[in-house]
Amino acid sequence: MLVVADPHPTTWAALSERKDNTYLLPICTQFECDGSRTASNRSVQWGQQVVKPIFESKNDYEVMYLLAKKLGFADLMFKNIKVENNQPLAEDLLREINRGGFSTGYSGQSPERLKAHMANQDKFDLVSLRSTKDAPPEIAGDYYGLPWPCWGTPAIRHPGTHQLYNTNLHVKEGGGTFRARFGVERVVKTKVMEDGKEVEKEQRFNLLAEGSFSVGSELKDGYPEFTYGVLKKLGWDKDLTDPERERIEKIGGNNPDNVGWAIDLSGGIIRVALEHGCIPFGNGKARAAAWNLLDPVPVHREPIYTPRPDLVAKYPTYPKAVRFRVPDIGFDVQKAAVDKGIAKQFPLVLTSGRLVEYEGGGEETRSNKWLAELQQDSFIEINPADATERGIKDGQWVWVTGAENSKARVKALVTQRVGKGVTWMPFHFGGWWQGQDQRKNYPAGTDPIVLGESVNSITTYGYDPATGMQEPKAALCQVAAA
Amino acid sequence: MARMKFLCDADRCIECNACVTACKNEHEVPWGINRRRVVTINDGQPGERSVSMACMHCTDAPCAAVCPVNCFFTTADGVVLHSKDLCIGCGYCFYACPFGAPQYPRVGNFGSRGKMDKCTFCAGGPDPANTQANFVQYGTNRLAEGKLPLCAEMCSTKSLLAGDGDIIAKIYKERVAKRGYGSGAWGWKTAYRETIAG
Amino acid sequence: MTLHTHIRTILGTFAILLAVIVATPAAAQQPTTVNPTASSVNEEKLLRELNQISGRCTLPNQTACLIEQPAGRDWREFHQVTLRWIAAISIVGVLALLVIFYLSRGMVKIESGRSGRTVTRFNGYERFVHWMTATCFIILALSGLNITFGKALLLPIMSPEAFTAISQWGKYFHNYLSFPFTIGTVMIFLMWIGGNIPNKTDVEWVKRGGGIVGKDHPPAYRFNGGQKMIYWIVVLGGAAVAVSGYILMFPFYGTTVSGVQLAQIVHGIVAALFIAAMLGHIYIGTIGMEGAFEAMGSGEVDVNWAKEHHKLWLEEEMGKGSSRAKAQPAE
Repeated sequence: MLVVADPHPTTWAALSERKDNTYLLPICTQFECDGSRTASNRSVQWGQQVVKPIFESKNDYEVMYLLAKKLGFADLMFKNIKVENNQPLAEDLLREINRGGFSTGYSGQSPERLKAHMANQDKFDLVSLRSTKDAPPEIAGDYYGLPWPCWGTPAIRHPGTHQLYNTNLHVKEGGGTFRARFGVERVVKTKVMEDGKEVEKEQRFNLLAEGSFSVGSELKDGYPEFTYGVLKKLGWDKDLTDPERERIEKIGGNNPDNVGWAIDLSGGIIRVALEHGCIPFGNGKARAAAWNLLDPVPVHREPIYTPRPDLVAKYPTYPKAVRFRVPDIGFDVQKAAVDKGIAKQFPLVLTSGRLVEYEGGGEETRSNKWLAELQQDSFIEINPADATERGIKDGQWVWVTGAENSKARVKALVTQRVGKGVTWMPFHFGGWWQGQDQRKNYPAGTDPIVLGESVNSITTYGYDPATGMQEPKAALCQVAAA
Repeated sequence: MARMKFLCDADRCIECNACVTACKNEHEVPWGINRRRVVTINDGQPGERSVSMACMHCTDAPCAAVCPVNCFFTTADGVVLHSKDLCIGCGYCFYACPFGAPQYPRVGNFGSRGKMDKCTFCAGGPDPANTQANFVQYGTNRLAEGKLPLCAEMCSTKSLLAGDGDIIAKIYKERVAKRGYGSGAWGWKTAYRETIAG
Repeated sequence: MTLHTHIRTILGTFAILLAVIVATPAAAQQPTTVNPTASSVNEEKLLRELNQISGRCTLPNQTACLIEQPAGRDWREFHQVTLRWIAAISIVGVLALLVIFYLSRGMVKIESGRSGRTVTRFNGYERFVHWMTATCFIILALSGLNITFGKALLLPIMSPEAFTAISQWGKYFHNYLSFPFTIGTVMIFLMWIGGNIPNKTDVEWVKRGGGIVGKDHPPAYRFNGGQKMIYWIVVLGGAAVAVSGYILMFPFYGTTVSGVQLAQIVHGIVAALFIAAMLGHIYIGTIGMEGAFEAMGSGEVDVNWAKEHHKLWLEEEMGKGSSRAKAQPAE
């Protein structure tokens, strides 16, 4: 079953003529519903509905509610959220996020605070984002949009964090330290030869900050993340209110000392830590060696489909393994590519990237007539030397064949933007498949103005072992005049 | 009275096409008509440069001189405008324009020219009122509202400057003095018969 | 360290300090940054080399990629000054010559008077082609002249709206009538090419003043030297205005703005000379010569007229028998 839930039908939506088990759910844009929106500077804004939903579109909240209802757990999922006519209240949704977002620093940005920011936008400095001196009390001291992280309950009025890890500010003013994310100490066991015998030696590294702390911190050194136990050791537990203490003890059961700031739903541990100038997640060191990753420090590894097979023996990709429940067979694929001489058949490096006119998969922007006029065809940039070898002229149609034998029909852009042996394709196109126009597969009136081949039909196998991110930047291809 | 001019500081243009899109959206300019465009010279080569170009609102405008029906006029602000009611779509202004500014919708006979359209410096047409009829023909009249052309207002790097020629020339000169080099005030010599140092 | 070296060090230090103090204001005025765009393309250089600047743009309208063409100024000069002089001198000049000629020579009469018998000179098809082309030409000429001179001659005596209405209709007629005109020109070329190849008779004809200057009647076949000249002016001039005109009408199919400018220059000059030549043609075909208009009017010319102006042709026609030459008494 395929369900595409989007304001515009995506590449996937139009790929097949299949009618069964394919659902296109028209989803409202942000202009058609209320709710919080996060900007790329981590600020959060409250958005209001500008127009009623057009056509038969539903907003995300309603779709989620109806799905939960169908699956039978809507009552549980929405028990704290007011729902009217299948419409969950946007304010309640954010409150739910606030309640569950202590560990991620999304707990302080309540709808009321955000709305106060929207109502007083003129009372924020454009550079520092801080509210100005004449700001009303409900936003006094805040940074615009309460940038993440905004600690604790909304009631304690943390101002948000304009710059991360800024030790020059008090934590209650948006200051912070590096998080003590990996414990307090790292023990490294190494085998060394001593007097002709192999012995195991232990090295201990302090992971907490040394001599560094944020302004006003009562702990003048590194510290671990806060728990009820830590508060007790410091004697700060007496600053907790009775309801906070009760909540913590209830959560902790037999072992309340282990209740940390992240699971303390009262927000009390965070509040008390901040009162003493400390950040709840501890004060640690930044690490340059990520010892728990496959490559603690990045090393060179040849792409799976590499133009330099001679380097694979020395710089192979990651060994075969199952990651995130999925087998990663990159090693075998790379070896097979070398053995089969793929680089000879597909001598051009293919990389992909973005155009300034379009965004993401491009469905929305390719449907905008002002933008569509600026880029009407998917294309491949190819160096004049490579183009001449293949008898390709600027602007003509070409077939691009990927190293796994998929193909795409695009226009050639003969340019010195790319070096000899390198090609580049933008990734915002869709709606064509291996040279076939799929326009008829779009529901009437929803087809974008501009359609084209998706570069990801040409890119090849490969995943980042730590994140599972696919490999769309390093592939091989061949180009021929169409 | 100010003498309105455009100035594209090519050192700052990043070819983002925001000026083009702003213009299209503000005046709802149809597909195929390009009042403003960004062109990259020596694309992909060392020394590549992008320039945003539209009608420069020339001194002694060639379009006005060659127009067989005299449909052009220059406002008190030095903006070169024309009347679409008088234009016959002959194309002569395009032959004479040093900047390729005049554009023609393909509504005329044999797929050729309809009435000419070009950048108005966001100053509308012969009738300065912001009416719907005027909007359809010429777009909005921002100048009448005390606003400058939207292309320049939208320019994220402030590469494109629009306004009183003396003021934008001063801004550009200050930049040149500060960074130590100019980028050539593209089109100024041809349009205004003057250059700015740098 | 000796005293000497001490003094040297102190003096040296002092000198450096002085140099720094003196140099500082100078450095502040002169930015020390390297120009990272020193190798960038330069407007002046590009214009010097190519006289135009274009680059890459992604718009469907690829003519938009040309951003500067100062040559437009030269075209302006041509259109506003040169073409007007060429057109004015040639057209007004020919008109003046014709007036003078008419006043001094008068109408060329049929010397021997009308015989009363006629001979077919142009059949219906030929006359149709001639008049179709001629009608188109006159409208094309007037609407064309309006584009060049209307602003100076007509606009001052009417409202801008009225002048635009005239010019707009003129443009439509100019565009649409170009097609029958072009077809007519092609048909003229094909149907009369046989009689219009220049030969020795034409040399003789020209030498003897064509029978217009003076009272002589040099012999001629169906088309005399003068008519052949008109024929070739129509065919070649027609081709030139048609080709250049269609480039202007369908701009940018395989040409650039420079090409369009050149096309307009050719169109303007050829059209002006064409009009001037046609004024001469019209003169002779109407008030300039007795019996000439009938050739294109009814198609039947008087035998005596034919004898005087196209002796060799008449002899040919008579030789063919009565099938083509209707040598019969007038009723």
